[in-house]
Amino acid sequence: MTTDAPQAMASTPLYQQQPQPVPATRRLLVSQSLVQPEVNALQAALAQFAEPLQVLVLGESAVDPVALDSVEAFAGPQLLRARLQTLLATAPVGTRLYLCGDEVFLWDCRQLAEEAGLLDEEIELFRTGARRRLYCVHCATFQDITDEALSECTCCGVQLLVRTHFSRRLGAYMGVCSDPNLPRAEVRP
Amino acid sequence: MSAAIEVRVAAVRQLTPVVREFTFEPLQGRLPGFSAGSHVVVHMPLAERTLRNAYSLLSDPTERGHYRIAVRLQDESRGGSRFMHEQVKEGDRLQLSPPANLFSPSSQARRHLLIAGGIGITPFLSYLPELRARGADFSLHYAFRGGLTDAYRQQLQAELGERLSCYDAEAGCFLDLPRLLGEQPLGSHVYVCGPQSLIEAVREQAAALGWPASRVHWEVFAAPEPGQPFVAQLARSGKRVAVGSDFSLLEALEQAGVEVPNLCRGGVCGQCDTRYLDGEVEHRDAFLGAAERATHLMPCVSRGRCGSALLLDL
Amino acid sequence: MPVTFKPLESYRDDFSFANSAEAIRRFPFPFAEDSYMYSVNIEPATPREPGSVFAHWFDIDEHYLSEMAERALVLEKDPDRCLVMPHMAQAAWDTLEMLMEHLAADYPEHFELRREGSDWLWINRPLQIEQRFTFGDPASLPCEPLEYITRQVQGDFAVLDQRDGNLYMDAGMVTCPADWSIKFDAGMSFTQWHAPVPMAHQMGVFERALKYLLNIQVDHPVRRLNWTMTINPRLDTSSETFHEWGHERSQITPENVARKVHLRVELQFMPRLPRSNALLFGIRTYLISLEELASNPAWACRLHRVLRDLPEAIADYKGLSLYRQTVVDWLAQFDPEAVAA
Repeated sequence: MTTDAPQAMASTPLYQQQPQPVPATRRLLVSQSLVQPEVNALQAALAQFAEPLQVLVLGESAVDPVALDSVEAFAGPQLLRARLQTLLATAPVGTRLYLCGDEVFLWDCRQLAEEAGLLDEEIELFRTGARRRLYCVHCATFQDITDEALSECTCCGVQLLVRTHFSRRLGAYMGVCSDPNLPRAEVRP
Repeated sequence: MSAAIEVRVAAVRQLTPVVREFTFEPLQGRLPGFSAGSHVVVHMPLAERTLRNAYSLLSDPTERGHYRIAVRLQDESRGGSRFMHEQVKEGDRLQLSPPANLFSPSSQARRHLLIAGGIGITPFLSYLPELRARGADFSLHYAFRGGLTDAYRQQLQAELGERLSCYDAEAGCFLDLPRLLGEQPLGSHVYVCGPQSLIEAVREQAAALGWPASRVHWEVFAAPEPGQPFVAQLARSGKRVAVGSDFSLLEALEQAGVEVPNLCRGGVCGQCDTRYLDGEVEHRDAFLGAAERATHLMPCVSRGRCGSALLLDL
Repeated sequence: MPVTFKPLESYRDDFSFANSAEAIRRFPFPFAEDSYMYSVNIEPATPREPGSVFAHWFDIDEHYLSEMAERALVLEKDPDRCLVMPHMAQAAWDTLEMLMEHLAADYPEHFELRREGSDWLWINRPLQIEQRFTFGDPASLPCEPLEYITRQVQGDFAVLDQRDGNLYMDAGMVTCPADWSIKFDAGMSFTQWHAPVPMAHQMGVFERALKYLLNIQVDHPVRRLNWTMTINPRLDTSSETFHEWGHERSQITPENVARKVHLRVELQFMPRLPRSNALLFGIRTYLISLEELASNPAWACRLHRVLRDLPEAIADYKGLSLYRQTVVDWLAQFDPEAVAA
């Protein structure tokens, strides 16, 4: 299948609007930002739970410290990832992870959480922003895109059709040669 | 339905006053291999009917020469466990269905918490060699009534040391589930086998602590509970099958020569689900969703209501 | 009757692959009716008549040497077409054991397995391999066990982990897929990797098929046939190489259609792996040109009707749209109804 219309498939990820009302012993929010309205709504919803909410956030966001039990801000993604890893290494079953950000951010964090032993059902994803990841199926290179339907592979130069077929393991949409009849500058390396 | 395996009873051991162990050898050829947590269905030819009960394989999966099962004598036996205890002797021949596994250790788990109640120890006996070979992190929590349902206790104590915790109800010692399930590291999975009440308690406690269902694995082997007698009409063959109060619908169909594919015979695996066209159904399975129940039932546990004629698409 | 192997033929470049009369005779023609629609066409894999592709669990045919050489070429360029996640190590050994046992029992003139405890000796005469190794010890083989054995067996193999009431494609050797990618689909659930297939989801086909597959018992495998079409006898029609072969679909003319267009049939074979409880998903691919296929006029007539009436969405998904009409026109000569009309 190489020419599907860009409609959702069974592999296309769905993102949440509201946190699920399920029991947990610890709740952890990891967000790319704390200033977008979507994030504020999520924070407010999470504040309704009885358990304490711990927050990790990227950047020097404006934070209202009263509303939250604990907020830690990080200058860069590497620092945030390292802190998340440390927290999850000692976290018990019953921990719920809420991720908020663009798809690249979400799936990077999710992969890290999965490595730490969290399951699908324990991670909730809230999407903000258009950035997402594309995988070139011809040369296995990743690149970041937004909502474009076509994109040229930065490595092999093939014009890629952005499919809705999505790999959770790779955190990326499949990009496949959009027109094999088009001449190409170069073939795969 | 898969062809049965012919076996000879190679050994019988009485382990406790209510638990007997049986070792089976193949009559010819090799026994099919199996994975940790597998069960077989034993066909028991009683005088008036053939019963088929599922039993966990408790031998080491790397040993291919024989199978072992253990059977607890049930107070409310419909005749199956009584047959195994009173009739089956060394040298007898029996038929088994091939191994199936509905209770496999999760490939994703980094710590395995095994909880057994009484005869529910059996599937874990095949887990242990497997988990040890993997070098896995595991612990076994075994609740029983000392001197009655504590089969394999000494053997396990010798093999597992600190990885085994025993809870003898006779000594007033009980599982503390909130403590056991609280503060387990990410990557833990819990497995429970035993009486329905124990399984319910573990599932409820786990859910309350925020464990998602995919971390909680359970297996129950219960004979179908009796119910009111009813009649099933088969739309395609035109047969009429009367289901007595201590028969399951599946058993009554088999008795009438109608084979329905099945694996667990306990309302869990979904293999036997059968379409019905008319009639009121008492659903007792743990597999079908509400929408599916409008058209399908699982004859291994579910029944037609008394007085209502059940019309099956068979 | 022992299989005899043809000398090396190619599945690329000059495409010297061709079927003998015997290979045509035993070709698994997949259509039982004059029309085609998705269905759960899974059946118990009971052995069928000797010599047929259904006689053994793993069919070895005259193309063995060529297909193994083709697999080696694909892996040389793209070693990640074989992938085994760490938790699938036991399933990989299970696969190796199953394949060696069956090949040695079914084709004793070509393969031999001697075992003493975990000391094994594997002999593959056509590929001139004699390998002593310790079962369970990956260091005793020249490469990872799934890769080792599937470099010696025709067809693709996906190895599926069974958990949470689903199947996950967590290992596989996939060098001749019909337009999909193991490198992309690895780790996906049964529903996710079938996501691109149109219509069938709505029909509930995958839900029913999944339930069937989850309940497969040891020693009771099942099988089904699937089909598509391929231009030239190209085995590696993967997504990875689509940019290299996709253009061939627009090169079909009435003059070359009979030689270039091939019916591609997958014999899918699914046994339970006994020790790991994983499910092996074997995909054995057979190619036949229209010219070869038409040596059986009943097949050609039926294929004419199937392709003529195939729903647009399925034709699109199978990538036939660009040349379907040319094929239908050529096949019409074998359909008495079409000739009369």
